[in-house]
Amino acid sequence: MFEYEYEQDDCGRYTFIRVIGDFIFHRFPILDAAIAMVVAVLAFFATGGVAQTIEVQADLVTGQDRPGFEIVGLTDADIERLNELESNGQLESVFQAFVAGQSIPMMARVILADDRLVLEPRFPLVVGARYEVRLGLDSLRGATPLTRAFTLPGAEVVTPEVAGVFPSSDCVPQNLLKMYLRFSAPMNRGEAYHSIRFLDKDGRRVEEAFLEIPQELWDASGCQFTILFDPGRIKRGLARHEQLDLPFQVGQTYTLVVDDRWRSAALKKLDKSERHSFTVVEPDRTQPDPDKWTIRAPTAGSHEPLFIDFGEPLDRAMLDHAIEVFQVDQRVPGETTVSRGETQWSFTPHRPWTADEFVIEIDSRLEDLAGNSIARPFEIESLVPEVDRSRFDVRPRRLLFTISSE
Amino acid sequence: MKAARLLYCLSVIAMLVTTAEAQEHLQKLQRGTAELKFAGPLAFGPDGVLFVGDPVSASVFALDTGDRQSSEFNPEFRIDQLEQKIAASLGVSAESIVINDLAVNPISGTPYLSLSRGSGPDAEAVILKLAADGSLTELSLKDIPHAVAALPNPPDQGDTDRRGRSQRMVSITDIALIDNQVVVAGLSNEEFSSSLRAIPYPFSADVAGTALEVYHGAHGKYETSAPVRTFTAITVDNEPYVVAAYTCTPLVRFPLDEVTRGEKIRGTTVAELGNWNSPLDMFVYEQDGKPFILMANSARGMMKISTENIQRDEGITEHVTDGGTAGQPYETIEELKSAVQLDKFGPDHAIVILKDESGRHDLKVVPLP
Repeated sequence: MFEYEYEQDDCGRYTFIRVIGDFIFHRFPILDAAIAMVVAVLAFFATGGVAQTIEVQADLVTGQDRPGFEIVGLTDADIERLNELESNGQLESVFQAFVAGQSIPMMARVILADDRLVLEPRFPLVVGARYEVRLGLDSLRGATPLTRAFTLPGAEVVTPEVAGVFPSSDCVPQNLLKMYLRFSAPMNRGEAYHSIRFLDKDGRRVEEAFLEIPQELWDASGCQFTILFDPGRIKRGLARHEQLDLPFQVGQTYTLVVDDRWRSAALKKLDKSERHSFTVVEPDRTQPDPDKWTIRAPTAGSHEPLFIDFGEPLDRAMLDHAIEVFQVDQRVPGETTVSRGETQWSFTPHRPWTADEFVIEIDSRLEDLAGNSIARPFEIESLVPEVDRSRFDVRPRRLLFTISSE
Repeated sequence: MKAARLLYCLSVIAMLVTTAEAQEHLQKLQRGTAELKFAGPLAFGPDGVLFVGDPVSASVFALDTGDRQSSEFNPEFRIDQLEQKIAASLGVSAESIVINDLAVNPISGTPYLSLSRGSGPDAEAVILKLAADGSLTELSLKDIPHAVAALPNPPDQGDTDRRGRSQRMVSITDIALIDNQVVVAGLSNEEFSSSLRAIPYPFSADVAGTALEVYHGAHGKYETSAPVRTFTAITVDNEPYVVAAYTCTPLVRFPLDEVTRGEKIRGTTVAELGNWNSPLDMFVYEQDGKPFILMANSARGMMKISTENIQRDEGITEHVTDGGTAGQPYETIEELKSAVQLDKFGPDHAIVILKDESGRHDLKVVPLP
């Protein structure tokens, strides 16, 4: 709940500082007004009925784009003094806000708005954080500074969960290039590499299995993390491959452990640790070939899904956007589903299929689990003596299918 | 006397030309709000222009800091517990601050930091200027002369718009202005693709830059798409090169003209600096008339790398075994082992951010080793 704190200063006077903004008042206007009244009454009696100053108000201050702090109940003498300080550019040193326990004030703009002293933080206040505001009363009334603390209330933070681990299949090729972790909420940056590890069947850690990129590889939503295995370890012939060999051995079973200490962007830990085991099979050095895919066309007038079987698992993240369906140059709107360990893809249109010719357009960057894309194999260097860019056709691939009127 | 006068006249003309050039590129910057979504790698260009890599909007921003007042570099510059101070100023706890990069304005000696305030996709992009007294000032992104260049082959925004999803991102690992080209190194969170791109500066709406195809030879084999972690430009015997530190093949040399022409680039591996390690950041400096590379690493500490004979034709062709090293000789600077950020600070110093095991970050200036 919203927290008001108030103290007596050395002169026995009460000055109140209130938090303003719409984050609370929109939600609990009656409650806030009630609290405000109680505090005001307490203040009145605490000062022996001599209301020196300040009427606590909990009304919404409009015209402000983010919550801040303000001082109300200033006397004419206070305002005159503040006007002086303002003209000297010293208001920021009179009224300051701090993260609780810190000595450096937050960046903020302080303005004298009629009879109020308003502090607008440069950055939005964080829900759940504790702040202190200090009014340098010595500048005003020769008294010691007043300090008040506030904790900003907010909605309950949801506990994040691991929503998926990809490849989801029990078997992965030895030259696996990437894994994806999907979470139910945006996650905190800077924690990934401390929170994941691979164990062999005896529970021993696989050293240096994956790359640690300081920037971390997230999608734009912050919910999908990419584990990139060291391509230098995977590519045959490169120094690291010779030195370290591949991180996973064929025929062995490994377990990816995701620690529950990994926190969401709201700094809430995962609900539980996640373990995902897989068995390693022979390396995959063959490019995906759309001409070998199996297509099952739907029937006219139906909402049946268009169905493709790749005959092998493909990259889970890219499957969300790498395949599109066109009808006479118009993209057909619909929903895609990926299933059976990322070996199958289906597409359900928003509108029923009509009898026509359709084109399935496939991004040639689409990769299998080992980084072989439709356009080029992962291990270029071991396959071609002289690299010739024209060998790699990066244009989208097109597959045709027809829906007949029968 | 005449000669001196002529020299003076020539230098004045040269200054006027330089000023005119400076004005020209600055005049191409438009005043307004720089819509920076993520403040990533930093690099200073001419006349206080700061380049900022933004992986979220897949763009490079050129910001006119207006910081063109030449100043003495202060070797006493030091800010302890930097992260705590930044966090307090920005109104959050230290765990909600990520320092993404550090760059020093070579004119004024002012260090700049790019950072994220908050965590997750809603983190706010912030650029701070640091002062020797420990005070922090924000470089306001409002009403600032700037230009934006979209990276070639950016994320598929079209897909994002149609489907309400935005999955693909290009993470930027380093940027630098090299011979009027902003060179950008990065990698995608999805496909494994070419990771070095060059964009001509001043930015022009119709020139989006080129994705560079990188090859390097060893045993007749080619490495193409491994992520470049950090790179720098270097001139040896009047020949300019780009030296890039890879994740899996540490130090590779490219001819500068191939990089700036945006062509297929042939790299030569000039050093293997050991495994179990990722290079973090590097720059070139001169000592006793010889160029050296100073490179920070994740595990192998700070390396002072000799560039002696770095221009040789033959690269490393033998595999290095048992985690050993080969190629350019180097020495490890023990006291800078924990450096996570660094930049050049005047002709004789480096500025570093050291991170200890407790996570505390201290910024300080050290003599170049």
